[in-house]
Amino acid sequence: MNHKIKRTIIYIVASIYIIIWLLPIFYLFIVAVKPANEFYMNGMFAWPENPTLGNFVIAWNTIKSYFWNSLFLVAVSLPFIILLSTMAAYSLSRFSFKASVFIIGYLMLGMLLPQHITLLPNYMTLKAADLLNTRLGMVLVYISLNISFTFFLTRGHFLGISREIEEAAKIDGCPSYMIFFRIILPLSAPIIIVSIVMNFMNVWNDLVLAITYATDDAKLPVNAGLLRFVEQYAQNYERMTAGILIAILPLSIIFIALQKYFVAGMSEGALKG
Amino acid sequence: MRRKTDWTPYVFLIAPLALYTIFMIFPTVYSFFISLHNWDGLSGVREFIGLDNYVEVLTEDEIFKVSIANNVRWAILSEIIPIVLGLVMAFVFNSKMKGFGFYRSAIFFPSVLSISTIGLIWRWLYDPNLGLLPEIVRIVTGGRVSFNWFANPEHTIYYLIIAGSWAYSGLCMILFMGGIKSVPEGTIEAAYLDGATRMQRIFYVILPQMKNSINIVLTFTLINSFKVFDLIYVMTAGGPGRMTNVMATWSYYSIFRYYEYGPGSAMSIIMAIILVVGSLIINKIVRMQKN
Amino acid sequence: MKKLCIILALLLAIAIPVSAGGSGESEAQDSGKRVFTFWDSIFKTDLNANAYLRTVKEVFEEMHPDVELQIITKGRPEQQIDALTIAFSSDDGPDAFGYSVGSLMDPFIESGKLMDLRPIIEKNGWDKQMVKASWDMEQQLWGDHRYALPIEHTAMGVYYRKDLYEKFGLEVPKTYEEFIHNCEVLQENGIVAIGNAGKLPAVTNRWFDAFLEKNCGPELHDALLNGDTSLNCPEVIESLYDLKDLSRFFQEGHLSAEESEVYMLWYPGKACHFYTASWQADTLETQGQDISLYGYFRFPTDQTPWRSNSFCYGVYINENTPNKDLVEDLLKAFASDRAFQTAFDEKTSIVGSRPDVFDLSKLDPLRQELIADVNNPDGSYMPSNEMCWPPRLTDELFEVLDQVIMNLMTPEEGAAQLDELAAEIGFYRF
Repeated sequence: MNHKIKRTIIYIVASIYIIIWLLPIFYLFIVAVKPANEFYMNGMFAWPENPTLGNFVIAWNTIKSYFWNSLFLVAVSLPFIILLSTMAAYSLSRFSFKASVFIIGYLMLGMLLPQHITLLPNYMTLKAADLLNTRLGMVLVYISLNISFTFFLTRGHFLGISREIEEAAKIDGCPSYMIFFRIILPLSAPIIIVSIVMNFMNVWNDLVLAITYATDDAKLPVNAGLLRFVEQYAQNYERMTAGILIAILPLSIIFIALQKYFVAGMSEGALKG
Repeated sequence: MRRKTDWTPYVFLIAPLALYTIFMIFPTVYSFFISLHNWDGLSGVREFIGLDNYVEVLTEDEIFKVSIANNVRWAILSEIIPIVLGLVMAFVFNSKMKGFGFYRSAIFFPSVLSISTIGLIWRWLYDPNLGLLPEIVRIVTGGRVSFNWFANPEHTIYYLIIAGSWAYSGLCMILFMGGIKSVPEGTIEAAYLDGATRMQRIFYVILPQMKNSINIVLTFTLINSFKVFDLIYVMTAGGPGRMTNVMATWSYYSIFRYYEYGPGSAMSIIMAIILVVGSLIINKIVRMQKN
Repeated sequence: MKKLCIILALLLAIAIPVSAGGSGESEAQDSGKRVFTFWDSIFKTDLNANAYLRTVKEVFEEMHPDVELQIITKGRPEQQIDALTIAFSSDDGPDAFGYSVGSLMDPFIESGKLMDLRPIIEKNGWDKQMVKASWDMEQQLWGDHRYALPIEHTAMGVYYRKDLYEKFGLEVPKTYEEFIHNCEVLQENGIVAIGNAGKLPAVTNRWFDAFLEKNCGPELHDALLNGDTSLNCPEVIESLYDLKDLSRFFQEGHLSAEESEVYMLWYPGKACHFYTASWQADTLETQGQDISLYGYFRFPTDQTPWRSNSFCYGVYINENTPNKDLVEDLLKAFASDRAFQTAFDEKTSIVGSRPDVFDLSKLDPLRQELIADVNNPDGSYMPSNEMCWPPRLTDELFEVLDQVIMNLMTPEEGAAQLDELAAEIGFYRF
C-alpha cells in the first residue's frame, strides 16, 4: 500500500512541477486561440472568451513560404555540418601528425568567438563571391559557424572508440576512408543524433544571419517571417503566438522522436572528455 | 605492412578547414585589424591608431566595465542555478516510471524555443502592470510588495538571468542524465548491496563518476555566459539605462548604433582573449585534477 | 543507423537540386527586366496594407514597363539601419530606401552615400506642394540640401478618451494648467491619467520635448536641437522637473510598458491620455476600436506661436546607384497625386505629405484634427531624439529622463551630464 501511495504522490508532485515549468508556454496557447484584439480588452492572462483556430490558419498562410525555407536551410546545412565535422574529427583523433595539436586548437577556437563579429566581413566575402542573397551562401555560413562545436563533440566520442576494430579492418586491407564510413560513423550513431538535434536548433532558431544575408523575401527563414506579425504600433500578438507555435513544431517533433537516442548519445561518450 | 602515405586524414581536413577559415577566422582577423583603426564603417577613411582603442575601451568606457561585470554575474549565476537545478532534475526525473519520458521532454522543451520567443514570453511574465509574476507576488504579499523589474536598472540583469536559466536548465538536465547513465550499473548495484541509501549512492558513487560530464557542462556554461547576446538583445536591448549590456551586446551597439567600429571590434577581441585564456586555464585545472 | 543514413541521404538528394535552382538574381532578371531596389521597414512593405507603396510601384512600372521596382524589407527600422550600414560599407547599398528624416542619416550623408535631391525637387515644384513643415525640417537638419523626398508627415500630440472627459465634465485644455487640472481630476477618480509606454524612452521623450517647447519657446528650443547653445541651461532643468512632476500621472510600472501594455489600459477606458502620433488613428481602427471615443489636442505650450510636434519620413536615393536615369521618375511616382489619393481613399491614410489631395469632408473628426495639426500655420518642432541628436547623445538623454523620473538623478545633474557629453562628442556648433 505504501508503495502505491508513494507512486501517486510522486506523479502528482511531478505533474504540478511540470505545469508550473510550462506555464509560459501554456500561456502562448491561450493567446493563440483568442480572436483578434481580444488580447487588449480583457487583460493579458484572461481566459479566451471565444476560442478560435483562425489565427493558426492565418499564421500558417503567412509563414508558409518561410517555413519551407527554414526546412530547406536545415536540410542542406545539417548533413554537411555533420559530414565535415566528423571528417575533421576523424582525422584529428585517429591520426597524429605534426600539426595535429595546433589544428585541433584552431578548430575549437570557433566555440569561443562571438558571432556578431562575423556579420560584416562575411557580407563582404559573400558579395565578392556573388553569393549574397543565395541559399548557397547562407548554407555555407551556417556550416562554417557550426563546425567547431560538432567537431568537439564528435572528436570526443571518436577518441573513446577502441582501436581493435580498426586494426582488424586495416589488416584486411580496408583503406582509412572506408573505415571512416563503414565502421566509425555507424558506431557513432548516438553522438551524431546529438549533433543533429543541437545543430537543428542552431540553424532553425537563427535570425540575425538570415536577415543580414538574405534580401529576397522568398529566401527568408521562419523566424524572420514571424516579424511580419509585428506591425509598428499594433503588435498582432494572437497571430504571432500562433505562428510561434507552428514554428516550434518541427523541432519539437524531432526532439520527441529522438529523445531516447539523444540521452543515450549523451551518455555514451559525449561527456567522456 | 605497407608504408604508403595515407592521404585520408589530410584530404578529410581540406573542406572543413577551408570553410571554417573563410567564414570564421577571416572575420576575426578582420575585426582585429579594424580594432587598430579609427573607422565609422562607411567612409573610406581608416586611420591607424594602434592600441588606442583598447586603452579607451578598458579605461574610459564606463559601460564596458558594466558589461564585464554583467558577464561575470551571468557566469556565476549560470554556474549555480541551471546546473544545480539540472542536476537535481536529472536525478529526480531519471526514473523509469511510466510517463516520465513525457516529463523529461516537457522540461527540455523550453531549450528548443528560439530566443526571441523566450524573450517575448518572459517580458510578458515580468510586466509590472499585467504580468503573471507581479500578480502572483501581489496576491501572496497582499499588495504590499510591488514588483518592477525595471525599477532598479542594476538589478534587471538578474531577471534576465532567470529567464535564461529557465531555458537552459532543461538542457543541463538532459546532459547530466547522460552522465548518470554512463556510470556502470555494476558499481551502483554494489553500493546498493553494501547498504548505501539513495542519498549516499548519489553523493559517494554516482556524482564522483560523473566528474567528467559535470566539468564539461561547467566549462560550456562558463564559455556561453561570456558570449551571451541574443536574450539581452531581445528582452531589454541593453537597457534600462544601458545597464544590462554584456560585452557582446555593447560591442554590437558600439558598432551598429554609434558607428564606432574601432572600439566595438576591440571589445570583441578582448572578449575572445578572455575566453581563450579562460578555457586554457580551465583545461589546465581539469588536467591537474585528473592526475 | 541505416535508417538514419537513408534519411540523411534523401535530404541531401532533395536539397542539392533545389539549391542549384536558387540563384542570386531575382526572377525579374531571369525574365530580362531591369531591377530597381527599394528598401523599407517591415511596417511598410506589406503591399496589401500599404496602398500608397503599392500604387507607387504601379505608377513607376507603368512609366517603365521594362523595370521592376523590387520592394525589400530588412526588418524593423533599427534592423534596416544595420543592414544599410553593412551594405553601404561594401558599396552594395540599395538604389533607394525609406527612412525617417533625421540625424541618423548623417553618417551616410557625410560619407557621400546619399544624393542631394534639391534640383529634382525644385524642378518638379514639390517644394510648393508638400507639407511645408517637412521642408523646414530638412532645412534645419541639413541646411540647403535636400536628401529626402518627404512622403509622410506625422504630427504628435495628446490623444484622450472623449467619453472619460464627458463623464468627468472636462474640457480640452488650452493651457498647461488646465491640462494638469484634468489629469488630477481623472486620477482622483481612479483613472490612470496618462498611459506611458516608458520602456520605449522615445515615448517618454515626447513629453520632455513638449516641456522644452513650453519652457524655452521656439527660438531657444530650436537652438538646443541644433547644438547652437549649451544644454545646461535653466529651461532644460525646468523641463526635467516638469517631467518628473508629470510622472505621477503615469501608470504604475510605466517604465517597462510598451504600447501594447498601454492599450490594455486605454482601450477598456482605464486610462485617458496618451501622447502619440497620427498613425494611432489607423492603429485604433485596425484593432477594432471605436474611434469616435478618441480625440486629439496639441500639447498646450503656453507659447505664441503655438507650434506642433511633428516629424517626417522620406525616400533617400543612393548617390552611386547604377540606375540614375530612373531616379527622377521614381520620385515622381512617390510624389504622384494618384499614390496619395489611393492611400487616402482606400485606407483613410492621412500621413501622406500631400494633404492637398485629401478630401477632408470624408474624414472623421479625429483625423480632421490630426491633419489640421500637421498643417499648423504656427509651424512645428522636431523630436530631439534621433531626429536631431546623434545616437550617443540620444542614449544619454534617455538615460537622464529615466533616472530623473526614478529620482536617481536630480535635474541639475541631468542637464550637466548632457552638456558634458554633448561637448565631448562635438555636438555643439558654437
